[in-house]
Amino acid sequence: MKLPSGILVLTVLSFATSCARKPASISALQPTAYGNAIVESSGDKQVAQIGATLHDPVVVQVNDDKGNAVTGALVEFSAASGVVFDPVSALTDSSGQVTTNVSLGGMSGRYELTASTFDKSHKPIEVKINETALGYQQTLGRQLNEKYCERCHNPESTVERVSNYDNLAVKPHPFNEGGTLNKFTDADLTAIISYGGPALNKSALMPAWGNTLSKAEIQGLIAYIRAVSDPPLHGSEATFKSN
Amino acid sequence: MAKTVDQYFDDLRETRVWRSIFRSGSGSSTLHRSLAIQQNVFLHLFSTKVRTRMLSFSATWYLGTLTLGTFLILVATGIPLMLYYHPSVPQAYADTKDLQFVVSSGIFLRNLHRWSAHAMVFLVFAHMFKVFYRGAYRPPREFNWVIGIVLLLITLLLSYTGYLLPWDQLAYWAITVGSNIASAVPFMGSKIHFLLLGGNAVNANALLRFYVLHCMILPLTAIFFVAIHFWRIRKDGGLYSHSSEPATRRTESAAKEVR
Amino acid sequence: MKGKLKAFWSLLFGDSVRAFGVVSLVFLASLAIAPSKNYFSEWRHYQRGYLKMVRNRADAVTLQRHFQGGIQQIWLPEIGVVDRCESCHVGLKESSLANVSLQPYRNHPVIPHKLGEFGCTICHRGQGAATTVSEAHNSTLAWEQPVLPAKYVESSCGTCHRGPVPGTPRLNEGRRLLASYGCVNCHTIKLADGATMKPTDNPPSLSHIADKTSREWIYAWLKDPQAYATTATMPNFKLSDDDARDISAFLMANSTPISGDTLAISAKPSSDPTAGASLYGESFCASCHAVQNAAGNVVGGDVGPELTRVGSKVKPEWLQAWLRNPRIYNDGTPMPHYRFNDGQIATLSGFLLAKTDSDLLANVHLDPSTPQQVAHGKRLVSDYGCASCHEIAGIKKPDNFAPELSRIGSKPITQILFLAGMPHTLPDYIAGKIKQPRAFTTGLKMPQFTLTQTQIDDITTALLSLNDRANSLPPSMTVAAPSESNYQPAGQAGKLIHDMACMTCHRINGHGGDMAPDLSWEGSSVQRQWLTAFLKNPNTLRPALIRRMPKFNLTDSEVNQLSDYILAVYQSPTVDRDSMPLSGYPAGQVELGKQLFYGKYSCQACHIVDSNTDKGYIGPTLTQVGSRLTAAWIFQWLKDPQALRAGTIEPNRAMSDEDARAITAFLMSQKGGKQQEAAKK
Repeated sequence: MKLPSGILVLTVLSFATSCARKPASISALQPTAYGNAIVESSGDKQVAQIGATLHDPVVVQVNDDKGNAVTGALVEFSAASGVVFDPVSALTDSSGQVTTNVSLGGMSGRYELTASTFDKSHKPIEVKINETALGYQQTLGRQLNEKYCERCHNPESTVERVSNYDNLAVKPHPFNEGGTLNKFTDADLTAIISYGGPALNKSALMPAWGNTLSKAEIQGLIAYIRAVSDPPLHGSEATFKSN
Repeated sequence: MAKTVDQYFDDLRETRVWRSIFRSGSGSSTLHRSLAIQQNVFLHLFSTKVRTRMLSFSATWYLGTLTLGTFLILVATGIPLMLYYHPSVPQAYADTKDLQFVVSSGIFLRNLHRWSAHAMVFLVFAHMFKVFYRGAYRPPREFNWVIGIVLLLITLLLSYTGYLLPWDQLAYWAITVGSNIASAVPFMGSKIHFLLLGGNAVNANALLRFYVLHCMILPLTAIFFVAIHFWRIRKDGGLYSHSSEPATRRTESAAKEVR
Repeated sequence: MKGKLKAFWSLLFGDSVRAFGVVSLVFLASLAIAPSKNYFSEWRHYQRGYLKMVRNRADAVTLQRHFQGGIQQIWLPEIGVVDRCESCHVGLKESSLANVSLQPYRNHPVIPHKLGEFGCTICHRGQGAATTVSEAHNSTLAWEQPVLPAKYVESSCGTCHRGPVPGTPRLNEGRRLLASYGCVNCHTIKLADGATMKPTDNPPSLSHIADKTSREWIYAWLKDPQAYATTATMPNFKLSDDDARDISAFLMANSTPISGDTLAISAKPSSDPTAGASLYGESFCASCHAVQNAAGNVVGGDVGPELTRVGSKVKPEWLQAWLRNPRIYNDGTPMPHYRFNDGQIATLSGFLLAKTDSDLLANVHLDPSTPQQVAHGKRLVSDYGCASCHEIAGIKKPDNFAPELSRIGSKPITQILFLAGMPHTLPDYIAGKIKQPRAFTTGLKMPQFTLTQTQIDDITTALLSLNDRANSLPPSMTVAAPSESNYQPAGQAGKLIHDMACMTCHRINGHGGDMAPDLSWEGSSVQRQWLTAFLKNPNTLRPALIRRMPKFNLTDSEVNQLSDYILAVYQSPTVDRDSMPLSGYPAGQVELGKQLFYGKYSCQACHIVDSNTDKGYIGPTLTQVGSRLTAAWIFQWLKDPQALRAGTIEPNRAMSDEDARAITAFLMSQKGGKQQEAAKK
C-alpha cells in the first residue's frame, strides 16, 4: 500500500509544480499620494478614424481639495473594449498630470473614456472624456470638409490654410456647433448643400454644391457633421461607454 | 388464463410475415437456437456453438471484436461523410469546413470517424500482440495469422489514404513525405510513387485516387479478408485459449514455469 | 460506506448482462451530446439574442419580418467567397440598427460597396466559412488569418483600387510614405498591374561629395541623421564610431571633383542677416525647403532638404556654385536655376551659412584616414547597401538588396520570426518590424527609420494591400491607378522648362508636381501680355497661399520663348481662345453679370473683384482677370470647372449659357491698371 500512495503523492506534486502559474497582477504601481478631484487637462473632444491613435495625448490632472496638484497618485484609464491606452495606468508626475496615448476602437461612434483615481478613503473619483471615431462614410466627409468647406466654416486658421471666415458678411456655422446644426434634419442639410443657402432662406454666400459633389459625397458630409456635432444629435450614433 | 408477454412474442414468431422473413420459427430448443444463427446471412459466418472459455475476457481482451466494432463505426460514419465530400481540389477543403460548421452534427461525424480510425490502428496492433503473446498463431492457425497481417496492412493503408482527404497542410505534406519514402524502394521506387499518386506530384489525381482507394477498394478488400479471417477462426476450431490445449502440453508448460 | 459502494457497484455491474445494459444506456445518453451540441450552437444563441433585443424596439415588426433563422451565407463562387458572418451578425443590412452599440447586432456602416456583391472576408479577412466566434475571428490551428484590426482595414481597399481613393486616407498616405521614405529603393515592390513602385525621395549622388561637405559632417550625419535635420528621411544605420569613420573616409577618398564649375568664391558671403532673410523670402525658398524656427516648429516645404543647420554642412564655395547653377552639380535636381547675380549670391549664401549648429560637429575629431580604413569603408558601403539609394562611383546599385515586398500582405505566419511577446499576426509583425527592424534577430541590416506610430500604421496598411488576391483578381474587378506620363517638353523652351524645374511644382500633360496649377492648357486660358509680365515678375494671384512662384530673373528673350511655347502648345481641345472677344461687351450685359456675381451666385464669398468691398480669398483675385484670362476660358470654366481643372473646389453651378456669358462679360471688364496697385497685398 505504501508504493501506490508514494506514486500518488509524486504525481500530485509534479502536476502542482508544472501547472502554469498565473502572471503577476498587471498594475504593480503603488500610489504614494491621493487626490480629491481629477480633471481633464487636454485631449478631450478629438476626432480620429476608427482604430487610429488620437493626434494629441489625453492628459488628466489630479488635484487635492485646495486645488493643488498631487504627485504620485495612481490614475487608471478604462473604456469600452477595443480602446487601447498607452499606458493604461500611471502615477501622476510633479505637475500632477498623467499623459496617455489613446487608440480608438474598431467601431465608429462616440467613445466615453474614464480616468479614475482613488481618494484617501479609497472612494473612486472619475472624469469622463469624450472622443469620436469616424467610420468610412464620416472619413470621406472629413476629407471633403477639409477640401471644400473648412476654409469658410472654420474660424481658426492654421499655418497651411488661412481661414476665410472673417471675410464673409454672413458668418457660416462651424460644423461642431451642435446647438444649431442638430435642428436641421438630414433632408435640410442635403437641401442646403445641394442648392445653396437660398434653399433654406439663408445667404447665397453658401454656394450650391449639388453639381460638384455626388449624392454619396453629400451623405458622407452629413454623416461627418453628425459625428462631430457637440452636443451630439440624439440617436444619431452609438456611444461606447466604459464597461 | 391471460397470455404472458412471452406467449405474445411466440405468437408473433408464428405469423406468416415473420416466417417469411426469418424462416425458422420460435422456440428455445437447441435446434431453433442453432437455426437462428445458421440461417442468417450475416450471422452464419459465426458458429452456432461456442465454448464458454473462448468468451472469457482474459483470453482475448475482446480486441478482435473491438477492431471489428471500430471498423463498423468507420463505415457507418464514413458513408454520411461521403454525402458531403467532393474529392476535387477546390472543393475538398471547403467541404471539410462545411462539415465542421454547417452540417448538423458534422463535427461529431468527422471527429468520430477520425478517433475511430486512430483507435482501430491501435486496436489492430494490440490484437496482433495479444494473439502473438498467447500463441494463437500456432498450427493450425498459421494462415490466419498471415490473413491478419494482410488486414493490418489494409488498415494502415486505409488510414494513410484517408489522411489526405481533407486536403489541408497536414494532409498534403504527410502524403508527400509518405510517397517520397515509397519512392526510395530500390528498382521500383519511382514506379510505385507514380502508381500511388497517379502522377508525379500530390495533386488532383492523387486526391481522387486516394478517395477511391479509401472509400471503395480498400474497404471491399478489408471485408473480403475479414470474411476469410472469421471463416478460418471457425474452421481452426474457434478462438484459441490456453485451456483448450491438450492436457500433456499444458502440464509440460506449467512444469517448465515451476522450474 | 465501503459496503454501500460495493452494493451500488454490484447493482450496476453485478453480472455481465446488467453491465452491458448499463454501459449501453450510458453510451446512448452520451450519444445525445452531439445533437444537443448541434442545437445549442453559438450562432443560434446569437440569433436568439437578436430577437430578444429587437422585441423592445419601435421597428420590431419590420425587423422580425426581415429576420431569417438558420445559417446565413453570402456565396460568390467566382471569387471564392463563402461568408457566414451574417449568421451571428444578423442585423448587418438593417440601416435602423446604426445606433446599436451591442455587438454582434449593429448594422454595417455605410460603405460604397454592397455586402451581397463582395462578402465580408474580402475586406475584413478572417475565416468566412466558420460559424463559431473563435474560428471566425481568431487565428486558430485550422485557420491562420484572423480578422483584420480596424486600423488596417483600408488595406483591403488597396487590393482592388490601385490608385488613391478619396475615402482611404491611411492607405493613400501609406503608399506615399513607401515612396517618399525610399523603402522601395531596397525593397522591390512590383505592383499588380506590372509596374514597379518608384521612389520619390531623391537621395543625392555621393560621387562628388568631397566638393560639397566635410568628412566630419559625413561622420556626424551617419551617426545620427535626425540630429542634423529632424525631417530627414535618411534612416539611422546604428553604426559604430569606427564604421562611421571608415565609411566617411571611403566616401571622401572615392569622391571626384565636379567638372564644369571652378568652385571659387565669387562674392564674399555677406553677413547682413536682414537682407538675406528678405531675399530668402522673396525667392520663396520656403516653398520647397523647411527651416526649424525658434519655437521648434518646422516651417516650409518638403521637396528639398531641411536647411536649419545647412551652414554646418556645406562648403561656402559649393553653396555659391550651387546657387549660381545647381544643374552643374546635379542635372536632375528639382531645384530651379535662379539666375541670381553675384550680389544676391553673396547675400543668400551669407544668410544660409549663418545657419549653423555648434553642437553638431563639436565632438567629431577624425585623424587622417588610412588605406585600410578606406578599404573597410568600401566593404561597409557594399554591405549596408548604400548604393541602393545613393549613386556612388565604382559601386553598382544592387538588385534585390532587401526582400521583395510584392506579396507581403499574404506572407504565411509560419515563415515569420516573431519577437518575444509579440502577438502572432501579420500586421503586428509588419508594424513591429518597421518600428524596430534589428530587434528580431542578430545580423540584420535594415536601418532604423524615424516614424510616428500613425505613419507606421499607414505604411503597414499600404503593405497589407500587397497580397495574393491583389495579384490574382481579374481586370474587371480592379480599378487602375491614374497613369503617370513621362512627358518632357521639347525644344529650346523645353530646355528652359528643364532649367527652371517648372515641373517640380507644376504638372504638365500628366507629369510633374502638384504644388502649383496644372499648365497643360495654360495656352488656352491666359493672355500673352499677362503671361510675359507674370514670368518676369510673378505677383500674388491667391492671397491666402504661403507657397508662391519665385522670381527667376529671366531675360526678355527667355520670357518670350516660354510664352510663345506655352501659348502655342498647351492648348485645350475644348476651349478655342479666339472664340470670344477680350473686350467690347455691351454695358447691359456687364451690369447683368455684376448682379449675378454679387447676388445669385455670390462669388464674392471666395473671390475679390472690388478690393474695397470684397474680402473672400479662397479663389484667385479677379481684380484684373480681364487682362489675365481669355473670355473663352472664363466662359468654359463657369460652365464646368472640373472639366478644365480636375479636383478644383470651384462649384459647378449648372449655369445657363446666358448667365455664364453675362458673368464673363463682367469679369472681362475687370482690366486692372490703377486697381492693380491696391490689389497687391
